[in-house]
Amino acid sequence: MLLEAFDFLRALDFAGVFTVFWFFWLFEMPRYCLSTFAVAVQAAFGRKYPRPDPEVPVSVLLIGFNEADGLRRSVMSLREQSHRNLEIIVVDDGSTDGMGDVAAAMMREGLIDQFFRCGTRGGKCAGLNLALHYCKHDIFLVLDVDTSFDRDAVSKLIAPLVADPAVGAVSGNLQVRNVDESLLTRFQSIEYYSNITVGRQFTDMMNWLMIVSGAFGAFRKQAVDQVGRWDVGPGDDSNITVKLRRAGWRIVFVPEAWAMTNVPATHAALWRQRKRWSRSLIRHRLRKWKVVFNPFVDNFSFDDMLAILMQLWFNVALTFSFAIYIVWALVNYGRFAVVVMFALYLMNLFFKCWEFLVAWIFHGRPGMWRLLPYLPAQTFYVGYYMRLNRLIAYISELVLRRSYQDDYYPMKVHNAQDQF
Amino acid sequence: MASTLAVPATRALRVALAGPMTSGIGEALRRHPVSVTELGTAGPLDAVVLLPGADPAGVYARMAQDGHLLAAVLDLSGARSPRADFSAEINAPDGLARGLDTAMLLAEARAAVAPLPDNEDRPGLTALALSITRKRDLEPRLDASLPCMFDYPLLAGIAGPRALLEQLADASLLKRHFHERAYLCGSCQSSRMLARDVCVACGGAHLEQQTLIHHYRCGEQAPKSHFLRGDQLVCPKCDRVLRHFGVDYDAPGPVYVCRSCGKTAPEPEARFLCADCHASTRGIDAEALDWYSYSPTEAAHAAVAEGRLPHAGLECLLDSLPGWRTPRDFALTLDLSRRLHARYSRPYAVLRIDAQASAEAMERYGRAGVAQMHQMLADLVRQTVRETDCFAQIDGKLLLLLPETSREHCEVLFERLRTRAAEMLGPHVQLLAQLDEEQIDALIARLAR
Repeated sequence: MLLEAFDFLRALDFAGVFTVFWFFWLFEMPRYCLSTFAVAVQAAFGRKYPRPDPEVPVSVLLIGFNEADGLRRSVMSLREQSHRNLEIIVVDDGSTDGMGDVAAAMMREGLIDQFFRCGTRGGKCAGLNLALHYCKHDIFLVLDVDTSFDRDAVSKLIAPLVADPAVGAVSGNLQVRNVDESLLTRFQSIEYYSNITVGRQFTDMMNWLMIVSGAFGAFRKQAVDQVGRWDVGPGDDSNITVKLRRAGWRIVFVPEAWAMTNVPATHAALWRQRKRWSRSLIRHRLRKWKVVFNPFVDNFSFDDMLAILMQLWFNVALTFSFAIYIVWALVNYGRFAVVVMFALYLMNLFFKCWEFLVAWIFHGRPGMWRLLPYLPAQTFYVGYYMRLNRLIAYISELVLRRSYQDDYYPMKVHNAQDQF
Repeated sequence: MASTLAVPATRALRVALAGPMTSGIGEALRRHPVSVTELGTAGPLDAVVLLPGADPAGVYARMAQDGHLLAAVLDLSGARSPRADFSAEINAPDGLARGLDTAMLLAEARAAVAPLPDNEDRPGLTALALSITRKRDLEPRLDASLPCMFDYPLLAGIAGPRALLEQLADASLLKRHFHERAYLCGSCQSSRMLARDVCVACGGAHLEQQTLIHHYRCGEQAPKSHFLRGDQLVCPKCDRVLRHFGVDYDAPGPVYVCRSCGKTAPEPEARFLCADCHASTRGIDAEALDWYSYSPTEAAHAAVAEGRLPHAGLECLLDSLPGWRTPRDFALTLDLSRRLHARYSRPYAVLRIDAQASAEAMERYGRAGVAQMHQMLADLVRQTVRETDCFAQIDGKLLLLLPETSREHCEVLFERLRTRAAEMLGPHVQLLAQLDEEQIDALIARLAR
């Protein structure tokens, strides 16, 4: 099969390469080229923000549901930060695993500054809105409870907010903490390097950054208050980012600010999480924020439109096109389609290695090289496993509007929330 | 002044007056068959009359000192002393007469009480007798002037009433009935504390409770005050009216905002502020102390009638030692030693200590002195006996069985004990004797019966 694929590639002329692998040139190649190009540009010309005064007060919002195990580690990780002036606010969103007791004990120890316990679960957005009401400082972080941070992460993350008053939010870099837990966590680690470390540098460079991750992001309170705080999710992090952009605030990505989070280690958990993420793309980009495509509204922004178009292109269009490409290959090549798909896989693998190398050179973390042997399988994971997941999620959202039944939010909120 | 006094013609009450004497009270007393004396005067006393201006605490201390705590206290001072058996205004018609009626009834009740011994039993017996003669439980009373916050009015004049009552309850002479729970300052053990909800972070009491509202539709969650517009709830984020609890919104819980340090917590911390030492004690750290009222048991009635507390004396000083035996067990062990001696010539010896206070000793040393002597004897035994020795109290005498001890060795021990006893108790006290075989046989035979 391998030799057949190589022979097939060698036998193609220049036009043939474009004709047979049209999918690659339309979707895959731009993705790899643009992102690696962006990393190089950022490395050479990217704006370096000065290190902020460690006395700049910063609030930290930690919203958790049944996070008793991870809360202490997360808070201790924050208390180890080089940036010391932190007001840590914890919201226990109706936990039943004793998270509230852990938080209460930490408050007595002086590790937490403000603590709220919601008797019933209200969802992450309600928790964030509550914490924001009591947040004292203009710069605040939104973090997942199961996330931990490099010692200088907070300092680096808030630097753009301190230095530039036009910046409304900053996205930090995320990596996988439980890399060695399973094959899927290794794949996700490579995926995070690709999509976040490298991918967001491109969107940042183009001013198309549409998401500040809810796991690790910094915000300006004035900006978030201005846009009416968080709306009911899922996809609440990308939603608030769009709101900020449309209000004229700049969104910045800081690849040097590292946080680490646990990712799903099993197929079931990962499958569910990714379907939720993919559905929220349809829900927010295609439905809620379709207004960005209307050039007649007051705050129309070409950048916003392009940013969302780009997301839709590299996610929705790519996924459906890939399904079409497989059918096209089967129709045109019959059983030989397998060789064509394998050749496509080899091309992807080559560029995946290239992207990995770029990420390693510019933003590599200790032990990253251990992921190298998993690249061939991870290319398959991205090319087939994740695309199948997206296809199912997009169809279910487009046809069945499944995001409105997602158990990420409690049923009382499902029944009352706005539908787009 | 009409009198309902039921004093038998043959019996005149001995009454002491406390406080400035007035001509009125003197005249009133003369109309009753009482003999008036002064506090501190030797001899029996039936009642103490508290007159206006009397110092009750001083009076009770004096009564305790003189052994007159069982006397009726007739409070005519108007202060209504909680210890008083009878209270009335000095000018109340029949006040004195009714008070003397009470005193007479108590005097009759005291007839069933043996004289209080002048030894360590006295405080306990006094407490029991007070309860029995007054037919009242020994109840605590809130008293904010005391660090412990409770006292036992009936035991006024007795030092450490709670500890005494607990001892009596442990000895099954009193039965406990839960009355109240107090908390103790972690620093000075006072119960005079101010309970407050305080900030978990800074310990300040300047807290404000806020109710949270969660608007489902837009995800807003904020204090209720942010939603209130007149009597309506309007979401400050999306401007919609919240109409229906559980459908539009709910209240996920309260939040406490500290106005001192600005921190928030879902629940405050309970803390006590000590009024005496100003220390702050966390609620979960504060030690609880239960206060009881106590009612006398049958054993208490028997003890009061007998004039001694059970298990008092030498026995209660020794029964916790490992060598202590009941008379029956002692007899069995002694019999075995005697048989071993007869069959295998294993030596043993028996010493007798005359632990019963003789009339002469009582006269010479008094009850307190005899109690002290018992204590010394107990110390002597504790220091002398070996792990293999055993001892018991039989007929008021303490018997020590010393296995594997020849008569010669016993002589040495005997001399040593005698010298030590002489050093401790004086040269005139001869309490020791060694039993010969005949005496041992007689003893075993008697115990076997």
